[in-house]
Amino acid sequence: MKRTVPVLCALFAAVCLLSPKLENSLAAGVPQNAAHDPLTQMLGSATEIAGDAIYVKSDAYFHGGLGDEGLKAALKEDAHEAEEPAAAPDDWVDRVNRHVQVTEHKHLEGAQAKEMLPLLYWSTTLDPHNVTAILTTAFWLDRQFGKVDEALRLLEKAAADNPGSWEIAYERAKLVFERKKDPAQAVELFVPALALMGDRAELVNERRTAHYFSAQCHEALGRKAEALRGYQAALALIPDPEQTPLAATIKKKLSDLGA
Amino acid sequence: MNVILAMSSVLIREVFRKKDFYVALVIALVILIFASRMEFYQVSNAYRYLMELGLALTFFSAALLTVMLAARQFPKELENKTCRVVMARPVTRAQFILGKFTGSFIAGAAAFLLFYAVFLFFAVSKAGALSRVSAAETFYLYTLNLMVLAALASGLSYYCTYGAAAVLTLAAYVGIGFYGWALKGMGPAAKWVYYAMPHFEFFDMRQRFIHGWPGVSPKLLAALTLYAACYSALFLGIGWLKFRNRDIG
Repeated sequence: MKRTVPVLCALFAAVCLLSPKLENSLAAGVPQNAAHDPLTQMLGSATEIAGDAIYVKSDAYFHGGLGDEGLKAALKEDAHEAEEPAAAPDDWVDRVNRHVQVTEHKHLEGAQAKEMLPLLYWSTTLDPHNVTAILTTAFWLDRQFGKVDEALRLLEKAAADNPGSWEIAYERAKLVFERKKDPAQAVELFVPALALMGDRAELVNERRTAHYFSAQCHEALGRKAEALRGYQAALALIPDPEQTPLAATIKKKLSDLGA
Repeated sequence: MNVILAMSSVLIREVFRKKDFYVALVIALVILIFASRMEFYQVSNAYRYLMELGLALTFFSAALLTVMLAARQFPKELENKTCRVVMARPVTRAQFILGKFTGSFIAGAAAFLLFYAVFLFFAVSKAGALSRVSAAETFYLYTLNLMVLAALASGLSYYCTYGAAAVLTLAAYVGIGFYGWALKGMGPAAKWVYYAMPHFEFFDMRQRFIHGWPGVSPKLLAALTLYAACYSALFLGIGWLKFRNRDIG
């Protein structure tokens, strides 16, 4: 008994001395945000799986509670509705399930879309690298609810979490340009977006739009030379300038700017 | 009948005397209070997430309590050596099985009613109004689900220990609920199992309720009541086959 207390004290002191070293070695290579997030600490990368599952669930919410498989079947039936009657139930189990479960398809209309927001919030919080979920959330916040600032806050955090994503950088820049009408900030944001897009041929439309919007920003800021370069870059990305209305617009802008 | 009711009333009191019920209720309350106060992206009055969460909590808690209670009865009587005392009253073995099952089921359903009332309070506070028909049907169908679960746990408890009966019942419930459909495409033998197993998904109309679809027809409710009664009788019958000749000394 006499020895127990000193032994316990010695053990406690040893643990206290060891813990900073252990913490440092365990935290090595783990992003700081993730290391301090309680959910990540508890569940590890399972949070990402949960986030992705919740994102799928949010899609089901948009379709009236219809899951992925049910949605495919319903869409198939919708497409053939005019020509063929709905497929008959496979058996009595299927017949009962069609009455008890959700098997029809409807969309959340107008303000009802708010029902998706909690799920989109959790989805993007649990998996901050699910770019599709982030862009979908930003889309709904901006287009349906007019919450531009909320959408921008989300994209700003997402850009920090996903520095290699051109989609997030591009959407963020577009939102600042189109909705916030802030050419000074937008032009700064189009630079990294264009850098991330590089010369990828499959992104020709996005690159053209980014150059065009960027040029408009420069023009609004009175930077004539940069605006000219931007319009020329956008024009160069139009495959058939003679047939495209945008090409005519850009040419007019170039001539107005004295190119 | 009086014997069965007398045995049942003891069990109903038991569920409310145990801490399990209050722990589950407090956990559900804390989660629902926290969830109902949440606002996402400064958009208020979204409520379907709360219904989803509340119903999941309510269903899970009620299923767990019912299964634990039903699975515990016979093994507990054996362990405490009170089985012989009960049987000496006199109570037939069939009455014993029915009494234990009825008590477990009613106690589980009563706990479910309280959980459900708490859930409805939060859901209505957030949503404003909900379909009363769908709310009642969702409750009724899940009560049938609890009846089948109580019968399954009760029937299994005559063959194995309390823990094994509870785990097997919950495993069957979760397994059938999540993966039962997969048996349909796994060959003729698996297809027979698919048709023979209890389809717990028949008793779960949460998504219809949450997403504002119309309720189910009274005719289907009656058919599902019969379906649940048949399975309950089957599971209790299987339990009786073991218990009728079992030495309880």
